[in-house]
Amino acid sequence: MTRYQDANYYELLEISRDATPRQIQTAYFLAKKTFRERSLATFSLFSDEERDAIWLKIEEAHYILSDHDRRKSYDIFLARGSDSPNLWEPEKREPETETSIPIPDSINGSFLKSLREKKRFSLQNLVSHTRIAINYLVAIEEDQFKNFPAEVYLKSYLTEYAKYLKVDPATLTRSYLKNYHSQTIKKK
Amino acid sequence: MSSVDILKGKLKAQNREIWAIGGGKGGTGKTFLSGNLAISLTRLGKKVILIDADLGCANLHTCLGISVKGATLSDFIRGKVKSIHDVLIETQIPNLSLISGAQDFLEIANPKYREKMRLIRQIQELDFEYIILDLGAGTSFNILDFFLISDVGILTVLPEPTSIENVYRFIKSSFYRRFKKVVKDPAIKTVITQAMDQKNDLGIRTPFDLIEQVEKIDLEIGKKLKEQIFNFKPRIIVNQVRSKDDIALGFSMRSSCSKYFGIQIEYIGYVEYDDSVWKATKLSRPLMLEYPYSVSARGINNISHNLLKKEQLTFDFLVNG
Repeated sequence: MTRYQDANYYELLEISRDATPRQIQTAYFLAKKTFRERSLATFSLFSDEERDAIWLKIEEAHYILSDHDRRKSYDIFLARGSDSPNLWEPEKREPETETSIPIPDSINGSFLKSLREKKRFSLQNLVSHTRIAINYLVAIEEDQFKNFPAEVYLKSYLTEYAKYLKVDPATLTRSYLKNYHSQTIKKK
Repeated sequence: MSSVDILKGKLKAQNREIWAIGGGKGGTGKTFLSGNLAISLTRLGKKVILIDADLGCANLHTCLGISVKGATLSDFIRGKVKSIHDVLIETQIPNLSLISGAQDFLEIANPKYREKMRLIRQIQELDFEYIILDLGAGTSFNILDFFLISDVGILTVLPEPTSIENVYRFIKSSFYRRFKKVVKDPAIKTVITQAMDQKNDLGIRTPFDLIEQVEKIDLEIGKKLKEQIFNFKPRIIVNQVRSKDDIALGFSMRSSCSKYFGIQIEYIGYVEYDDSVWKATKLSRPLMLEYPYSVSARGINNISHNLLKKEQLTFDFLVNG
């Protein structure tokens, strides 16, 4: 009997320690379905705040367990019985004061990542505010094109991303897509 | 019956299992599922008795297409007949017996404690492999007690907010009642009673909070309650499923219960929404006999297989199924 606040990532997603990547993925989608807004299964039990808190923990669990290396180091931490590793540590510092950063004509994921880091936002901040799944945010920042969502979603994610970083959404989206398109066309 | 058969019957009697089917809300298919699960079991060669424990409004017999002429459960509760065997009917379905519910006597819906205990004792002594109790709607003490004496407690839920809410309430009420039965300390009993009220002054919202409070009073009893929670495994069936999302609801409820109540419910299956169900109901014929090859009949067969094998649905099922 463990409170969800104290559950490890496996307990949280209700999977065994030796779950396959596919099982992790299924459990994650199901968990998101369960704890989304207005979900039938949770509405009479959990408050909105609790549901959001669980939702965020699920994103966190998925972020760690869906990546081979991150999962491996998490497993080592679990085996040692120590506290959770700092793979997902929210940053406590306040963002720097507004400085306008010019956005070039064409930008890639690492530009976005450095922009985010300059503003001192962690991925966790971004996930909890934009509600974009962590795997898409990572894909966007690391230019993992094959993991991208459909372009219509990509556009709206980039807009949210820009809004949160307080840069012009239209410019950021246009510049990012320009690079994305040129890269994907080259590959074809 | 040959002596070998009698002996077999005796041996099996020790392995008898009581299944209780409840769910809080009316109209979620408790009677429908009790009747058809029982028939599904007889098809697998099991000896089954169905008991209509819906004392207020019994109609399991109608669901099976049987008209009740002889004595019913109300005669037994009132003491008109001595043994529960006197109200037992052999149905035309091989291996299936029935104890029909109260027909007329209104007070029977709330039998006295002594009457209830006598009933429970005699049910537990019945010589059948499977004893299936069809419970009424609601979360009254009588219904909860029948649920708690069962070996397998089954809850039926429809993919609707009202039904889901009632199932959660049923789960909560039944294990809080179970808590109260194992606790003797009046101070702790009071805490449990207060905890049952969602807006209590102690700030207890979930069983986690309750156990924490109890542990402050008595660590040992807290441990005992944790054991109770651990051993409490209600099963759920999602009825009238119309989409993949409806199927997934069972998993979502399982997950919610484990995160909120700290209890592990088991998702043993679902029954698809299907016209053959109301067609059979209109004819007062059990679905398993009238439309044995319908999708809903298949769902019921899957559920009885899962119950017999003590299995439940897994996530993988969603990917492949």
